[in-house]
Amino acid sequence: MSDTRTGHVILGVNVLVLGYLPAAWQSRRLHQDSFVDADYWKRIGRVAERATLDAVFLADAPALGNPSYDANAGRLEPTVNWSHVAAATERIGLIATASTTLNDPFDLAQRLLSFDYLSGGRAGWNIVTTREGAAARNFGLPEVPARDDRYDRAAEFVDLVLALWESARTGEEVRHHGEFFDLEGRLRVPPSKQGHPVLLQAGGSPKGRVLAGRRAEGVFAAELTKEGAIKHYREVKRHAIEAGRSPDSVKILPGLLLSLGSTEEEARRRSDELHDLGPASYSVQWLSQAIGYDVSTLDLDEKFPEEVLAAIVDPASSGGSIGFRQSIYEQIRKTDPTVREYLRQTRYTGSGHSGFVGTPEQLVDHIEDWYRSGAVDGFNLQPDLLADGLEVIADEVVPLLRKRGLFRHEYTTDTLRGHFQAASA
Amino acid sequence: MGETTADTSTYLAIGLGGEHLAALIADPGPASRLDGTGAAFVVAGIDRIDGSAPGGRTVEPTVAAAFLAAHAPGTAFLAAAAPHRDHPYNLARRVASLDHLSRGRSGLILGVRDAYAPGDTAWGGAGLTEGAPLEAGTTRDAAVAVQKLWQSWPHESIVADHETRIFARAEQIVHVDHRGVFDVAGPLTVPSTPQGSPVLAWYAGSPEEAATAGEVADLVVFGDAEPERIAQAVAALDAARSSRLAGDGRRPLLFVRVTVDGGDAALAAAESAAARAGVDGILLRPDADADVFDVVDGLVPRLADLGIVRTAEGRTLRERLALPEPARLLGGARPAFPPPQPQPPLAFTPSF
Repeated sequence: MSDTRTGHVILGVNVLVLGYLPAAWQSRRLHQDSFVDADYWKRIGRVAERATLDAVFLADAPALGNPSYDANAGRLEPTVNWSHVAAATERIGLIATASTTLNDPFDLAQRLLSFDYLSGGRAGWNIVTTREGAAARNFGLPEVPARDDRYDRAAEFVDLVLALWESARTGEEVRHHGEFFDLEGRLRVPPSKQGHPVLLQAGGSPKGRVLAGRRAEGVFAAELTKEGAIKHYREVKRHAIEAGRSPDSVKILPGLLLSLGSTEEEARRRSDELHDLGPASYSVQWLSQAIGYDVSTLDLDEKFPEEVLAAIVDPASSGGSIGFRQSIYEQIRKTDPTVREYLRQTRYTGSGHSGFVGTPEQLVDHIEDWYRSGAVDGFNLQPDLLADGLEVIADEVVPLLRKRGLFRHEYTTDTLRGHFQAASA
Repeated sequence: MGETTADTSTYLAIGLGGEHLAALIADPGPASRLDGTGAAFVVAGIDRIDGSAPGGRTVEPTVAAAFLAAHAPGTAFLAAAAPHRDHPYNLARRVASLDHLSRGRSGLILGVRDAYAPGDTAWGGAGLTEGAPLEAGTTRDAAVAVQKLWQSWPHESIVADHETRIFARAEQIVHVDHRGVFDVAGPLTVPSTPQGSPVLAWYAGSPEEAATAGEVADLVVFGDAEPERIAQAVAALDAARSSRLAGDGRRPLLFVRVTVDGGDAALAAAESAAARAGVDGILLRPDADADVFDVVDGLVPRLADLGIVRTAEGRTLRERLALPEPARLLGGARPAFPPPQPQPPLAFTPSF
């Protein structure tokens, strides 16, 4: 990978409802029901399409987080939401997250293929496992299964979904008798314009990367450093080759938290304001959940104790995704900050996902650098606030990328798989 | 539908099967013509739950309805489903999402089994539990769990106060702690909807099933237009203890299914069903090989001109059907979150 790299970057927007920060609802451009409003969601689709982005993306979990200070806790179901947006758009890819831990593979295969059919082949499925006990309790289980079991189930689940999608094409029954599922039947949903939905994978654990290399067409990675990103990029591409696939058939798209301004100072002020408008405990809670350790018990002006650092990367300990924990660990090791310094620093650099605070020009430099270094195939951009942030991407970031020959001027393909393939041409 | 709609109070509804959905989605332009039918609602995917054999093609009803609702902004859709391979939490969530996106023009119509789904247990196919029998009691329990979830996050809790920077009075959001065939903790991820709750309907094939449906549904579609069977269904609904409309003294609305196979028999059958005592509406169910728009352009205007059916009017589906807000099911439920505290005053004026 060098600056002779051909093709162009892939750009998605991770629509964390109103924006990734909890205070996003306080924007004067929004009303209290924007998070469930059809016009809000159609506008997101249309602006993303005006920017000729590859896809918009919705994260998901089937449980309600506390919305006291955060409208983003409220979540419409992604396949229903994107099916409504599909009627108002023509080209933009629409990616829905759904869990293999708490769903029925027949129901999900049928619904995702239906969504793909009605959108004209623009659907993607972001495959996740669920770790929240609150979600398990909505499905009659006291707790979620252990991590290894979740991944084994996920692998069988994905194979079965693919077999069911194939049955929609061939009309032949699937006869599946596995460790987790027994099923004899077929789907009667018509195949979509792209055949079936694009598969994306979000986990950053070693098992997750193997699954990604074997099956996924896109990976929403969590990368804080370019060096780490290059290593993981090569690892997934190698798994793809070992699985008999082309390395181009799996696209690596890390999340990138964004606050943009017309100057760097303005961007920092915007980010600070949005953080200060949110609950003071937001960063502490976020980090506590991510690493599975109650950060509020630490002295904020001391450095992270060794035993806490060790626990962060211990796969046996509870907490968030291993991919996130690994990148947090590496970031702390790199600069050895106090807890308070780390929390402050993550405002500008991200935590778990990489963050970016600056001007559109600087962002384009960053995208170009990581792309040409062979660290990414593109990014899943996560604006702090969509209401104006998405327009800045459409009106400023994308034109700059085009000027550098790094992005399409207009759509040349009309399915999500087509968009992804066109990027490596 | 003209000035001759007379004084009938019988509602009209239309039931679309899988083949109709697949064809409409492939060419959605004409879907807006559903807006002119005067129908109270259109069922998406009725062949899943009405005892039909699976057809050649279908589309999952909740996503189909979400797509078609954008193309037919005057039409209300009921998504057909059974708690067969679908779980009440997911069903509640998808239909509440649909109801928000359609601004209160949506609902769910439940059956006992899904003709397109393999396997003989409710939710057993997910590989998480043994599953439950596919029977009316299972559907009844799913209906109650769904209705509780729809009430678990009251929309009034959303205050979006820029001074205290509190978005929602989260202590008003409750767990449903439903225990039955399905165990569901709640709350739902979406607040209550523009019509309070989506409409909950039940497709009943027998008077016995109508009796069970009558305890929990807003509306029952009865699958048999034979006069004696209709009378039995009416009696069953009159006798059912309705939890849904408690305190209102009413029973759920009764719609009778009328099969439309292209001949003139449908007109007579519709007229006969509409004339039966206790029938509130008729649901036209075109055959899989009948063109929906032949029904929309042919039979529907004739029924209206003859004064057999009325035009349903109203912003939300509940308004169209003059249905009250459903009875509160969650009195004394466990709060899901502590009360939020006002955030400290700001030293700056937000710039965005």
